[in-house]
Amino acid sequence: MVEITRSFEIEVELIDNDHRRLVEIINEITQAIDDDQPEECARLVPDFVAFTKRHFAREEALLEKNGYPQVDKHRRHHASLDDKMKTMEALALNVVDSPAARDTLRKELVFFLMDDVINEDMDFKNFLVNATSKGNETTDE
Amino acid sequence: MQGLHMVGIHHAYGAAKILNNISLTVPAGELVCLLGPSGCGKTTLLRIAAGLEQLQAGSVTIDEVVIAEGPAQLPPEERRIGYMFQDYALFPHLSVLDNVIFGLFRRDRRTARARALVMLDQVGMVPHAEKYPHMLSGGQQQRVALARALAPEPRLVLLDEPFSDLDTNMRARVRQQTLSVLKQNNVATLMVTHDPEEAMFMADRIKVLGDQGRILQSGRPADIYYKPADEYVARLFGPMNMIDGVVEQGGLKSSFGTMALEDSTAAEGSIVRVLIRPEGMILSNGGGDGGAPVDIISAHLLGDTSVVRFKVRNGINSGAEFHMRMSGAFDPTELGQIWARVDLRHAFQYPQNQ
Amino acid sequence: MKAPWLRRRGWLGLNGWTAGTIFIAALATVPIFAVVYLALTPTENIWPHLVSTVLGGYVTTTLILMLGVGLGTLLIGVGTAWLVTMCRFPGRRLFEWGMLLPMAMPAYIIAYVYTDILEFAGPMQAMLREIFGWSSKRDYWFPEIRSLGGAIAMMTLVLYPYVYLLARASFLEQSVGVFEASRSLGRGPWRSFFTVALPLARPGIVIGLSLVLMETLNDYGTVDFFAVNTFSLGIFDVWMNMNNVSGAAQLASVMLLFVAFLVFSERYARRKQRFHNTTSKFQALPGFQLSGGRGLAATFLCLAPVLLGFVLPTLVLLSYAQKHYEPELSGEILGHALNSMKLSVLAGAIAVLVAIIMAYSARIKGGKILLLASRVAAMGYAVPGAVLAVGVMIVLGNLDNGIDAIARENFGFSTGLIFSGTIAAVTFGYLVRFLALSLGTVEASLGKVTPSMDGASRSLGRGAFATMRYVHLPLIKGGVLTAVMLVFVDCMKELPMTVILQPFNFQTLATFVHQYASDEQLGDAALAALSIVGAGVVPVILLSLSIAKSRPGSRPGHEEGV
Repeated sequence: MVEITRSFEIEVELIDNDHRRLVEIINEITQAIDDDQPEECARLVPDFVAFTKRHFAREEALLEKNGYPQVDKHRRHHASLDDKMKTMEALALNVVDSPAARDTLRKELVFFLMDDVINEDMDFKNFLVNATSKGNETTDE
Repeated sequence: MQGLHMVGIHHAYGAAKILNNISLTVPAGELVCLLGPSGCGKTTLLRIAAGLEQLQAGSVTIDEVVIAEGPAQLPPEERRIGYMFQDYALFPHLSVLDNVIFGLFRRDRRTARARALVMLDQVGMVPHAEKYPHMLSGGQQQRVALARALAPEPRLVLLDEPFSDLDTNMRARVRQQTLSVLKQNNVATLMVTHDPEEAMFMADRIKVLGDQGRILQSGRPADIYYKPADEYVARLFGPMNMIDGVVEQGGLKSSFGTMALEDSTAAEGSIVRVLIRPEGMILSNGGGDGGAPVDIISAHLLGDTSVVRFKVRNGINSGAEFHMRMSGAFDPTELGQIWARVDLRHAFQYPQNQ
Repeated sequence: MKAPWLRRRGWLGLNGWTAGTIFIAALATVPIFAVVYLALTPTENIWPHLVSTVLGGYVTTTLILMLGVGLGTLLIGVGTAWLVTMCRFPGRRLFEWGMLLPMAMPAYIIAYVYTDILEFAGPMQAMLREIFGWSSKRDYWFPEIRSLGGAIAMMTLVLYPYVYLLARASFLEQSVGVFEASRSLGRGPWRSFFTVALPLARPGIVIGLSLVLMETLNDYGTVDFFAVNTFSLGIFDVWMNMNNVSGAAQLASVMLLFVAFLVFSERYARRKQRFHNTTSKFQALPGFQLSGGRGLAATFLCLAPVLLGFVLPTLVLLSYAQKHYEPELSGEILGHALNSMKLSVLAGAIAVLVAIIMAYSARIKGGKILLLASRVAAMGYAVPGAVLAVGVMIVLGNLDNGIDAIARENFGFSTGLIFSGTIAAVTFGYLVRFLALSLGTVEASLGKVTPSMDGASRSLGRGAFATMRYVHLPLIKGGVLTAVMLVFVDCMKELPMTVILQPFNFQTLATFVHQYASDEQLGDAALAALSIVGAGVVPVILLSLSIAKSRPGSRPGHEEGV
């Protein structure tokens, strides 16, 4: 069971909510693997990837709106994660017949979210918290 | 989330910044390996996690409890962390068994002894329980140090170059054993090493630490090996072949012909550096599969593989020396012109002047 | 979730360590500053008088003494070290540690012994007169033992082991590979020695010589007995006979200049020395086999200093002790022995305690200030006992007067002398002089506890004090005991400081022997002298053991297999 605990919070509602949703999906995928439902797992992973991409877009828009100076760097970082998402989709297709794939997928999802996504988001945590507390844009409208 | 979470760690010795905004996550039961050149950065990160080094900036959380943040730092003896030092740091005045019992002082004698023996059994050192550290070989000391670190059932285990002092024969065996024991105990493990092979063998996730104190790449061993983010990471695994190709009509032209260009946005005529692993060069008798004619300089049989050195004859990289690795022996008496081509799976393109 | 018990201080936050170390360093240097201060602001200034009368003599005599002893110890020390490490001849193994024996002998004791033997009325000259039929002094020439030359000879005999030890270590550790390389390039053994081995060993030899010369400056018993006017003697003279503390302080200050030079050269040489693990294994050296006559010559060359410097005097003392045995006197000697031992044990214990405090601050806090403080506190070993004694007297005297003045002013009564002339005074003197010894030993011992052992202990749940108790203490126990023992022995042998600072009606073995010998009653004091030598043998045994341990095949083997 993964959870967004305090040290993983960005303290910006929009982003933390997205992260929590992603965690939910990961937990569903893990549950599917444990319950020996590889088809369910294979269905959920593309959902995860799709949601992640939407989240990236929302996040980049928010950063841009608040004038985050390193928004391009963060965009490039998101782009660099494309490969990993493709890998996870490929793994998902293999969970049907490969226990090793299930194991790797499980680990990769957690590392992907908690390390590649959230830890990198920590870079703009202070900026965004300050910006939003000054009454700036907190949504992506 | 159970495990280790370090966020935004900065560390400097005087004017030299050795850790620059390092963040990492080690979930319980997983092994994350910090790979980097010999120097102070990696070990310092370990020591910060253990509380043996003062945290300068950032935060350290274990099992959802913040143990270091700003000026507030939990002292090492209260962190419940297992630490394995590079020199093992066994206590010379205590026997093997007493070394392992050392951290179990909060339990009663009988339970402590029983637990110590369980750990010694896991590492296969029960017959040596009454010996003293100076009577043991390096591999045996390493195993005792591991047992000692794991005995108190820590929430996190930190390994500092655990195999570097062992000779090559011992290393493979001890490595496998250490990994089994760690997995058996299902504890979050953070390991540092400068040996890429070691990192690949042990880790669920590798984080490459560059000499500027930053993380250059994070991922599975396969990610790091087959998709190195930059030249530095690519070169970690050994000497690489290098050629500079020119972008020409959507392809990358070099002495080996025209290969597929990875970055489609590269400008016409711009230079792209290609790093090729030794196993990424393939020799054949004819030019049918493409590639370039080459002159063989020398061949060295290393056992089950050979290293062959050759020169490229024509094209923009003519005269450049390469080395390739193949399985089996290279037969230099093979008649006819030898050709070499590039296996794109082991070739990595890095546009220059970016 | 933040733990409520997170502390807001760093690793240990103990600033008491720093304060303690600096305080100790200050205490150790106060006597020296006191001497210099009094020298510069004398109460009864006799400096011009000193300069015009005795200063020149003191300088010349001291210089000649140092030169003579330096040369003598250099020749014997380096020569025997070379023979023992590089050549093979009968008895070599024995001489390896045997050469150290004269270290157990304080110079003043063999001075007394040889005077007894070699003076006009002694057995040597008596025998010669009988053999050759001479009857009076004018019939023959015999070297006068009670002279500058005699003093040089005596000190050379007991001080050469310092040079021997360091030269031997240098030859073993530094020059083996290079020496062999030199020989393989065609240079013969002698040339290799002079052009390669000797220069490489130079730093070690310089250190040995500095120590020798510091001890030479320190000597009082021999020069007093032989009436050789060195600075040491001069200080005593001006103090005791002229009753002029300022004058003594001024002479002491000039002596400090000599000392400063010696310390500087020793430090400089240490910096040039390569760092080596002192427990490194003995490397099998290419021993030149010395055959027949040459072998015997080598044996003789090594035997002579040991015989003259230890064996002969010990035998003489043994025969005296037997001849002059008197239960009454022995009872008195036992009393002095107990005094000596009480004093020495006290000084030893405090010296080690202080050393532990200083070693720990360096370990825990580190930093340049603490390092400097340690160095400064340990300076006492270079300062001659007479100088230190003057300094201690000045400090304690002023302290006593100060307290007395306050008491008289505020309470209307005189406190008299509190610290001067007490055991505390002598102990303080011993501490300042021998702190270096205990500090070096304790530091080396603590150094065996690696920082990663500390880290291991902490990560296994033991706090700072628990680590000290369960890890440090067991590991430094041996070193601590050794340090106590070394300080103990040096205190037993000490003479000049004790003579000046000892309380009224209080004698140590050393002062007892000195007094009786000065009265031509060495025989009665022989038992006491032997006790001192006996104590002195203990460190020699320790050193010999460590020499034996550094031979090949003496380390425990390793188990095979993973």
